[in-house]
Amino acid sequence: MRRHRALLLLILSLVLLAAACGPTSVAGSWAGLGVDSNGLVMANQDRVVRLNEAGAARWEFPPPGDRGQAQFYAPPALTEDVVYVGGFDRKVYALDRDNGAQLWVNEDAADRIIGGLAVAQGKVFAGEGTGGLLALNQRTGEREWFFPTDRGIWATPLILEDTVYVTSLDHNIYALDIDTGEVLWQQDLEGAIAGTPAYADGVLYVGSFAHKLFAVSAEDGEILRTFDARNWVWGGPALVDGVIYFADLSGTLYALEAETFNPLWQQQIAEGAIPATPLVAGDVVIVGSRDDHVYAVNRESGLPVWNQTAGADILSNPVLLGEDVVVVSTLAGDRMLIAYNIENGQEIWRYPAAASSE
Amino acid sequence: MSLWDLILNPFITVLLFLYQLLGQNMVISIVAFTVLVRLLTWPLTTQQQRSSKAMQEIQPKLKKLQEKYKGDREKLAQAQMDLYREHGVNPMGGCLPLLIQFPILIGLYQAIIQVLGATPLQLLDLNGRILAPGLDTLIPLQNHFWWLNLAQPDPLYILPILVLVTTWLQQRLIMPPSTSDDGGGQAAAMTRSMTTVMPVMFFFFSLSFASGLSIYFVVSNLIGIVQYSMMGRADFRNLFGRSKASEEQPEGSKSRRKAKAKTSKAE
Repeated sequence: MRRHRALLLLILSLVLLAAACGPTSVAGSWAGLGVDSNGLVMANQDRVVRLNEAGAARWEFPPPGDRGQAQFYAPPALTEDVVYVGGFDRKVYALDRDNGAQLWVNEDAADRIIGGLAVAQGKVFAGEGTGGLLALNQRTGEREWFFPTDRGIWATPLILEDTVYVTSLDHNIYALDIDTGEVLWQQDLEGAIAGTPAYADGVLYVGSFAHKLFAVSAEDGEILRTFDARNWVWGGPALVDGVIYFADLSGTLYALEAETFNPLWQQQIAEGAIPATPLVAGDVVIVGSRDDHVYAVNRESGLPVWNQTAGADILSNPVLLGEDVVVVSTLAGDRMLIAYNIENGQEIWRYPAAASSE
Repeated sequence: MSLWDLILNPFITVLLFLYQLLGQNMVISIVAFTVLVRLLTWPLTTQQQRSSKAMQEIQPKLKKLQEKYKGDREKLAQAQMDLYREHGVNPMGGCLPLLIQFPILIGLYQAIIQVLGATPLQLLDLNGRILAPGLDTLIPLQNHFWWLNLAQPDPLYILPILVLVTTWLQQRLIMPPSTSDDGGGQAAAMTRSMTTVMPVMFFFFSLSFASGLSIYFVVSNLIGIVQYSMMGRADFRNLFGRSKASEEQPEGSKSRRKAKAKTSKAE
């Protein structure tokens, strides 16, 4: 009897150990959003959903009942006819914009697609989770070139004319020839980079985990100036009218003059991390945070305008739908998307709709 | 900051420090970290082993007490306590060190997973856990080593097999001798069960856990074998099915066993 009890205790302990050592995060990442004139596309968990401006789903990929183990978190790229998405299943998909039908799929990636996709000059660009940038033929999905990196590419590439600017967790920002993938220059920014650069007047602006924002020459990669933040700068900056808005993981939002990096204001607005690129719309700057809140502050002063609690972490980039609606995504499955009025923060709709759970 | 953070954050910081010190090689860092953790928990393991040995030694006396006070639980409990006191044995002495090592093991696993930062959420969780300045420039760590992605299970099953073999070896080496005087052989039977259950369970864990943790299991087992050998607790003859004790059985005991066997046959 005693022996059985001891054995039971041992097995219970081991089961507890297994539970404690289980996967730390089921989701792994947060939703990726893309917007066009018809509404938005969300890649989140096991689906890609096309929604109209009222938050009603038009199609889902894969269709309900046909979903496997694939997970989607990379922000999709939207063109006039096609939606391009990448999955944690190491595949890049081209879907019909109107009905979500699969047009082609590429399986060349060696790892998950985490960063957003970009489309330009007949190519689709997709970064791999553990390293490397894939360039695919936009029409057929066939691989055109591959550029390897030491660590993952988790940010959407920026494409300007014939150059692809891509950042990597290997601390570098790369400028690549769009036709061949050949490196034009690369620059070490002292820490991992997970954000997409902003561009104006020959200068790229991007933050790194070295607690810094950098201004880098787009021509040769020279570091022109830096600004010290309080914590990792995860998201990319937003650049509007010569002012850079960016946030860090301490919950601080910054506004700097782009030309000098002189701070206009900086406010610790959130108690949780802000890993997203701020949305600048009208007179406000909007960000979501890990403290479950979405904040709108005055663009000129940094003073709070409104904030709303979403009841779950908000980690994705907020997007502007139409002229006066901001949409944020949360980690909660019952409120993947929430749309707010940009003026006053009033909730307009959420997806999945509350009524559907009744 | 939660109580859990008090364990996890220093673990992560030390692991990152070792990674920086040891040529940014994650496997060597995990090995060094395991050695460090085993050294820190050495006194606990020693105490656990001493306690377990002492319990084993008084098993015959406990058996006699159980026979003597059959049906009187209160008196039996009192007599057992007196026996423990007389021999300076703490009946919980074997469990407590194990319980203390439990959160350390879980902390180590979480530290390995977190520093590897294989997904955005894991990497985001890592922020704020690094207690020494400058170490966050190492992020994210190189998690590829030969055929392994340290944040994923071993696709070739080599590490799970090594975990199985080393866990079995360790359990087998410390298996106590089976005698007729040890309280019906309960302790030995329990250890024999563990010799089978533990390796199999850890093998299955390793099939689904990050391979970084499997490296910890293997190194930890090997250190355990060295430690038990140094304490004189490892009996290498157990590997071949013969134990020191069964060879050293006094003649009287052997003849008693033979007589007992004859009696039971006659019955």
